Amino acid sequence: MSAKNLFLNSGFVRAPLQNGVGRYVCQLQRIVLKFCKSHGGSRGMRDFIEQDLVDFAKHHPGVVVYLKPRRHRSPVIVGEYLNGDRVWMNVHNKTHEEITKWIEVLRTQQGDIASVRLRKYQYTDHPSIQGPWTPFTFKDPELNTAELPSSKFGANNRLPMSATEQLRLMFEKQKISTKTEDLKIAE
Amino acid sequence: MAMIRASLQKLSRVFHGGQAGILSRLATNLAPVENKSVSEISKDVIAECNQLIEKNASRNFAIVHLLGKQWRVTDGDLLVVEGIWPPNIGDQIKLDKVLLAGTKDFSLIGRPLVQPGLVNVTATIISKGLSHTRTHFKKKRRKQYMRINFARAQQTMLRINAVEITNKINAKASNEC
Amino acid sequence: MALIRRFMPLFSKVMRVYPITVQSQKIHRWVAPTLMELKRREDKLGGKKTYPRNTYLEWNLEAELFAFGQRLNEDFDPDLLLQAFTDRSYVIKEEIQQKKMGIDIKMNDNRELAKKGEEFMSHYIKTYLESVLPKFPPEGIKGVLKHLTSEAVLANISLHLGTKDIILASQYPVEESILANTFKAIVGVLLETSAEERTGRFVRDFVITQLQGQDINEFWQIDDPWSLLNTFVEKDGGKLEPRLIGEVGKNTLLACYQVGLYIDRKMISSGYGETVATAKEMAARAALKKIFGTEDHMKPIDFKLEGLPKTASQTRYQISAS
Repeated sequence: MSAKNLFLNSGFVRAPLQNGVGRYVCQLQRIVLKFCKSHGGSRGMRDFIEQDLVDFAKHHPGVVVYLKPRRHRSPVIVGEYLNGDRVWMNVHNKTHEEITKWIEVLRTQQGDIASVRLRKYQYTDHPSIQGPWTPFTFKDPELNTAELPSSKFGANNRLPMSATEQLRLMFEKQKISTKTEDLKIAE
Repeated sequence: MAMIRASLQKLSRVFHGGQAGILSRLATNLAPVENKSVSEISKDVIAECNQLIEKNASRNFAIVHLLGKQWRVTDGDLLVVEGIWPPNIGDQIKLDKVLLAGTKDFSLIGRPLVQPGLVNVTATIISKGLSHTRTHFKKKRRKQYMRINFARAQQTMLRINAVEITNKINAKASNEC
Repeated sequence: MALIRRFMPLFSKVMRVYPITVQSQKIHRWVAPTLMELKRREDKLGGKKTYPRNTYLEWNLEAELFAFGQRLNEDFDPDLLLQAFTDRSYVIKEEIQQKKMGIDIKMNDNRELAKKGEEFMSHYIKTYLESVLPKFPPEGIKGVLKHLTSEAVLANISLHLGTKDIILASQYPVEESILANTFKAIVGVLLETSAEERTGRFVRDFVITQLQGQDINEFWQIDDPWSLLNTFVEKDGGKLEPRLIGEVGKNTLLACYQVGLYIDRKMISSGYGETVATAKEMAARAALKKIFGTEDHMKPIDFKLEGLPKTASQTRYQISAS
């Protein structure tokens, strides 16, 4: 089972209308609670409506709450968001506490975020502030006027000294020291 | 320019063990460095950086540590952090664990954090919901073993409001005596 | 029984010749054809019908208007707000209907409010931009203002404030122009009910913040950056000197040149290009950005200025009237 088969779209982190740059706006604009007045599947929903709904509406005046009783059908919560998303959720046989939690989730999210798989967890408009590196960035300006090929710029001085070279240097050093010793003896 | 940068890079190696705890790279012209002692050079660089901080003419960025991850943030960025986290939507928070802060011209590297009160990173929580359903599917062949689990993680989206360098380097914090 | 016994071989033969096909997976082969047929019938009846949200059973205009104000943290006058959401097309449609029914109820549309809001908005945004971009020339500010008050941007803001469903119009879904107009009218309502400062904050929080993450320079088309830069430099008594400071991949498809601009042997900017001419132009653009204070690494625009910003400072570069 791959993501392709799940009808799951992938996307990147975005926020509607630069939310949070100016003032923060709660993105849930209305919530519709559909339930049955007599059926057992709506029991939790009815409890929520009786006990918590008025408080919810009072604390979140920016969210319009609608109740829609329907005979003998499963209870459903529908959230509508400012960016046009609509989240439909079946809460059949869910308890009062579960419904409270789900409604809180619907209220705090900014849209139907569960319908996209995020490819990145960060978004920036300014990927580089000190400037991206280019091949010209730390280039020696002397190279502009240099005659190429030149021994100064073309010399391969990146390799460590070879053993032969080391031996040769040692030998030459020895030669010089023996010469000076000879001179000393001659004196 | 490149020469200056290169020489400063050399310098920075010296700085690493210096007193200030900053490794600075300046693009602006600096006085010739050859005949000065290490402490003098670091003083010069810090003074130069402090001047730039006072001018406040560049966009700043910072690397902050948040819920076990490091994020490079600048003004207006969006972050999504996963996992249970108490802040709720509309909350303004300050991200205190700043590992590195920088402007166009210099970077301040913390050991491991930059000096407290130097950098001010503020953010607003703009969304808090659950991710898509992730499937954890395990199977061992020929062993009659198969498990399938579904999980949804809490995702909190942050908008970075400002990254400001509010204090001078090596200056005392306001609540320090 | 005898009959059955006699026909038994025949049955078994039939069974052998036509075995019942057993599918390995239970694939519902009928789903796609059924859906296609349903779609075909729907199209035959004139396509899928969508009903506007405000025709639903669960719709309360009064509650929506109240929540609209609360959501944005503003106190609107409910009657004026309703007027702001009333489009001209809706009033015309209603009047025709009322004439048919023989009644006459006066309705106000949002044209006047929109005009008021638009005037305030353009003035406020202009002064705001002038105070947050002190070195940017007036032509550039005009360009940014034009972008911010364009129909597309305002309609997008309006849509994301949730006006789409509340607007009273003759047709749904509402057009962009109606959305933009409604937003202007909402600003007009705020202007009527609360102080100018508060209205300014509203415009700042929803319109000016649209500049977040945008490159300011893109809203102002400079046709000839080189000569524009030259006028600035000559005014200060300097002389521009472009130098080729880097080249890579000459005579190939991926050639890249770097040109630096110098004044008094000091580099002010550099630019890259696939030819020397474009690199020079890019360098001139970079220098102009430096002069206007709108480089890529510029200090982010302040979206938190309080009160009504002061009008233009004199430090900005003036471009000649021509």
